[in-house]
Amino acid sequence: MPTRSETVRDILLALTVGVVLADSSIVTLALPEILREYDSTVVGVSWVLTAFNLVLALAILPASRLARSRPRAGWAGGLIVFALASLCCAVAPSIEALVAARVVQAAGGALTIACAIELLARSRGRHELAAPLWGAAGTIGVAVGPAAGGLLTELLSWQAIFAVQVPLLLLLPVMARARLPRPEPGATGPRDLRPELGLALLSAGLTGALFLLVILLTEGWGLTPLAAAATVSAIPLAALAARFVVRHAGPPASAALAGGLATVGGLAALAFLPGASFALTLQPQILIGLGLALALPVLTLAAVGGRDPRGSRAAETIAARHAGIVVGIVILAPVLSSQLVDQREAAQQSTTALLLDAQLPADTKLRLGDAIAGQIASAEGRLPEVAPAFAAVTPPAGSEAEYAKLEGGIEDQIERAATSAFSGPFLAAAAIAALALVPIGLLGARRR
Amino acid sequence: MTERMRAPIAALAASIGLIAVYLAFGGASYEPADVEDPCAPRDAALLERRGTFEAIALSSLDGAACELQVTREELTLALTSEEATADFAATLGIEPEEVEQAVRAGLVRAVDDQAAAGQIDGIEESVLREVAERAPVGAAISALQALPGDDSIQSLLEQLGELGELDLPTIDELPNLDDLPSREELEELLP
Repeated sequence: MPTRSETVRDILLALTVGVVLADSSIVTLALPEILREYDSTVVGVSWVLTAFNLVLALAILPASRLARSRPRAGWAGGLIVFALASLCCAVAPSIEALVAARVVQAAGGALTIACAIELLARSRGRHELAAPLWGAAGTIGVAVGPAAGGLLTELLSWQAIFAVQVPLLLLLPVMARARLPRPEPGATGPRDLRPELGLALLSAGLTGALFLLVILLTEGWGLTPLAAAATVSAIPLAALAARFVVRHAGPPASAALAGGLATVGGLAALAFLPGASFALTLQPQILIGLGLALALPVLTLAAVGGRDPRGSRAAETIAARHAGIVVGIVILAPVLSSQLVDQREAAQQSTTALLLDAQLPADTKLRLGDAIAGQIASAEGRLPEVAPAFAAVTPPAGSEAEYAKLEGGIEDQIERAATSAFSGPFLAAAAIAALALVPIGLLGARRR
Repeated sequence: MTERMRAPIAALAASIGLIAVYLAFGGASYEPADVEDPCAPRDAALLERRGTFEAIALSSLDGAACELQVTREELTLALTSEEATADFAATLGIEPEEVEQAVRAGLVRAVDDQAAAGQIDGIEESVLREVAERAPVGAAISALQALPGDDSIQSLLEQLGELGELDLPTIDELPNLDDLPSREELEELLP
């Protein structure tokens, strides 16, 4: 039974895992701000996420080898690199410098996580016993990341997201005196990578849900980062609430299959949103949160509890999850970018047609056209608000009804075009997550 | 139902149910508003409800869009600025001047059609032909559309006077609006 101080130490170690893994998604809600500040593109700015996750996935396996020989020094060194690189992210003068700092941050983060997992396994005696702690911290970190990032972006700035991570250095004394024996070797037996494959594919789906949803809410529907942060909090809240459902979900393999199906269903439902309202995204998000809470712990435990004589599967699990995130972003960002261009052109033509064909005096239409063009210019790439343009022009007497009809028609076209642009990418995310059902289903068949 | 299948079936049912509800309330039904074929004749009743000059502007856009094999709306957006025209021309693989020529040809044809139909008189035809042949096309289309519904020669000259590139008579130069100059007299006024 761990003492109170050992429990606090383990929680702080898990906290470092959670904070580093939160960095894989924390910047999501700040991407629009970063895009505008550096005059970048959707694909260009997606590298702020991709670079971090790619380096984390690649670096964590070599880091886990170092962790087995020198976990305390590695954890402290990783944390120092991570915190200093976070500071560099906060003051980066260009998008290239920001991506470069994110690469260093991920390398430091990988070392921190690998060593924290090894130290937790030593503290608990076995990797299998440590997995629930760091697994939960990681899942909460990834899920809470976007909401925390949105909050900081709205209240302070996107740079604050990185600046607030520098005080992690205060945790350095936590491991100064700890002397922990090596953990028990893991079980021997046939190696099974199906849990990792399932984790990778579900993580790609989760990334799809967060990355696409955040851009839809902020750029498509014009929500502030704070409002978008509150909206996407539905996923972690649903995941937390799912604790009460998990115990009724049957055997672990059934829970994982149910979780996979719910995640796929939630992503697919986001592709069929019937309107442009944040409330309509809540039900799919609840399904996704529930699904992740059911599937991820089962898959993580299946991976770590399987053949693992050297205790390296924890790192492989994280590598698989973040490789999945990279695959998700690399596939979805270009699909979204292309859909946005197509739908923007369609919406421009539609609104122009509505304006030209409106039964209003031509000079009123021209003044409206100028006012709408002004709104588009001031929106700086975001979805324009047409209401101020209509408010700025006085409709001729007797034309009020036609004027209001035109305003409603144009608003409807813009909102529906923006929502429609995300349908394809959400379906692509659902298809990637659906592939996870194969290894999850086979896992269940094997266990039976 | 076995305990093993209960949770997966519940998750599947919840997913299908949610998607069905969203589809029932119009999910995935978005289609952009109809954009008419510019080569097909417009509804005559619709055009009659517009001012003569707006009808000329819209008719010119239709004619030019048909010739360039694009929609009227694409062409309208392309005429909003020189940069937009250049981008549009590059997309079509033609020179910006060819876009301008197409719109100018459409404008001349629209003036011919309105004159033949007796919708405009001699001075209006002359002024409009000057605009069609010499004015910057984007500005000319906007100016024609901006005319108020009274279709008067005063409005026409006031609006077209904004186009600095043209040498049109001012209202004051017209000796008597009840005794408008003939086409020949106007041609002497115009360069």
